[in-house]
Amino acid sequence: MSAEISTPARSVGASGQSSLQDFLRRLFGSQEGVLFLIVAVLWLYLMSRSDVFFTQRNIGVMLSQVSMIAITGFGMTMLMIAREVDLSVGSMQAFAGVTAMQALNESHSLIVGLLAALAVGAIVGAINAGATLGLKISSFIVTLAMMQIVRGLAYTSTNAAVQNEHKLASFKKVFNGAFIENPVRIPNPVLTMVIIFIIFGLILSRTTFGRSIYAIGGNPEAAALSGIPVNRIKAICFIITGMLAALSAFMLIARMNSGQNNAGFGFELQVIGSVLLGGASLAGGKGTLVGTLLAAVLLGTVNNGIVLLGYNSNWQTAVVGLMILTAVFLDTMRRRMTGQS
Amino acid sequence: MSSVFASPQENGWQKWKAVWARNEALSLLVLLAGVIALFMVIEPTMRKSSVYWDLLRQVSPTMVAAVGITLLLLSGEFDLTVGSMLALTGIVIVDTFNRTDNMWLGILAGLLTGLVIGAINGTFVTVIGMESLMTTLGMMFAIRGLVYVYTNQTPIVDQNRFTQFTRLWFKNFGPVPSPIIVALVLVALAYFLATRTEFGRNTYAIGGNANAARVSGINVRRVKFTLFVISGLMASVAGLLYTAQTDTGYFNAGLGFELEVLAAVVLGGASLAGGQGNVTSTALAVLIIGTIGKGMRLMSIDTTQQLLVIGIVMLIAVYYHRIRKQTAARLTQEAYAARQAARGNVLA
Repeated sequence: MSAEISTPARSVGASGQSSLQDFLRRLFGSQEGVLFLIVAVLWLYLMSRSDVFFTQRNIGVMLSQVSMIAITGFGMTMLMIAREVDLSVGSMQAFAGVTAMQALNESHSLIVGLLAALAVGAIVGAINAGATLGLKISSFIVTLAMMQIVRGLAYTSTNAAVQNEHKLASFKKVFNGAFIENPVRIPNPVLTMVIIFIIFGLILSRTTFGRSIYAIGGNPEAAALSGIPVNRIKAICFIITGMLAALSAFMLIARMNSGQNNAGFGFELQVIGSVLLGGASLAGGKGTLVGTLLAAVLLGTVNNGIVLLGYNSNWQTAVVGLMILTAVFLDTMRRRMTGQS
Repeated sequence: MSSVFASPQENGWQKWKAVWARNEALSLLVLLAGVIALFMVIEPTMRKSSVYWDLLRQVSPTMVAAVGITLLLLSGEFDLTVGSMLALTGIVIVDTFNRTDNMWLGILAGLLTGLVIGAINGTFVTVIGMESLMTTLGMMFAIRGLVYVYTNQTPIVDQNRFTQFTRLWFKNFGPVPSPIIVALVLVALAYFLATRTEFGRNTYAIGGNANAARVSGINVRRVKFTLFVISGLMASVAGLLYTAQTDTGYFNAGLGFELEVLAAVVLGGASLAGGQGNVTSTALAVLIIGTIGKGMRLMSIDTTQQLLVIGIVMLIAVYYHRIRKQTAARLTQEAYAARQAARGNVLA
């Protein structure tokens, strides 16, 4: 495919020009830049239209909701850069949540509950990896099947929902509390999101492991020939995605105060939508955590804005679709103009 | 290495194995027969023929939609809008019923919906050049959202109670339910289109290698655009059948239907990269999934636990395909080696 032919580094052409031009070029020249602009314009618009929007409370609530999609999205981004995908993350919201709540009820310990969720995530991730890499079946199909299996397990383990019987005071704070109160209150889910963003952002951009992920996605054969342990790295990405999805599930049960077996229906498409919107591609080799974060914030802002401006909340689903279409459209036009194929 | 000197055709068992390995539809038929036999042994009600006529009625919307997706996937493009289309078509049909009091106008409007959405998808992908998976994911949310906005999340009931319309779902010709007749006619048309026309050959060529197809003079854009329209139309026919079942437009109809359809398509051996797969196999795969679901319902296994089994079956089935394809490839290689050896060409 002609997509493999990349244009020379753009910074070379920009060296002679003023820094403003260079800045603008960078802003419009990448998916992240375009997303940043859209988010900025949207925030300014909402600030001018609503007094409530730019308050600590509203932004905190909005970002808390975004955090679950973003955290799962970070794992999914790494997986999709490596040219794999995981459709089982939605069912994981149910199964890991139900299991964690059962563990919490049995043990009355927050740590045990969290570990139970993460263990479920790691195991499902490992199964996804084993079936994809061991049996050499496309991960799209494996995880489509796992999506049913994990959902089925959630249904099997409880009839409807596992209620909070442990009444741990610290449990509610997982979603509603804030570890940092000053100078601004940062809700725990947002703090978690930021920490995970920084950790995996550094891993992805600063370590051999991170670079290997891009190399694998760009050209798996070349990566394998140059000595990169392709399967091991992909397996780690699968397990990370599973565990981050389980972490989101843990935050979800803290928010709902119960582990529901129908939680996260359609979550996988929202996550994948955000990752793709953030600049990743199913063909692999592309994508950044910044892009995923911005895309998730964009979708969260849109939903928040619809409610704040008093529009019918039925518009939320439609606007999410229109945002995805607009972003894909802009990306396509941008690539056409800059001559990338 | 002794097998190199034995031509596979000499041995009866080997011969059957070769037939099985090289024929996808046949291998799925074997799988279907196995599933049916299994259920007949463990569940007595599965021995009644009425169960299977009922099954055929229930799988027909999935079959119609899956066949449309298969054709599109052959060219390497996705369509995730089928689930939302099921809801949209239902709303459009019943709403037109209520507004015009004319059944035929309603059906026409429903089919037109599929045509228009297919054309929009096709324009995005072929004219503007947007990636189909992402585009149809966006369209999926956009259509579903518009359905929510228009209906305010309440079902639209047919006030005229067109019993003639519900016959599309409930009428039987002898023992044969009418929706499966619609489905099978469309499968046959799609089969003809894919295997007996230039359009079909072009579709396979594009899926195999789009650049090579373009260079050899195939109008890739036009073929893909047409396939999107066909897929949209098929989705609206599926919506038509689905709506005839209840005579009501449900805003939540077809949630998750796109992945259900995709599962069947993949089970039928179609490759997500395009160029591989066929319509008959997809239809058989729909039957396999349907039979398993039906059997479990009759055994009164909890609906929710069926997901578990269907997931496992999917994995096994895909692995089954892999083994079959590997066997086919090995047999071809062995036959080639045997022929070379017979000619005395040692280097082969």
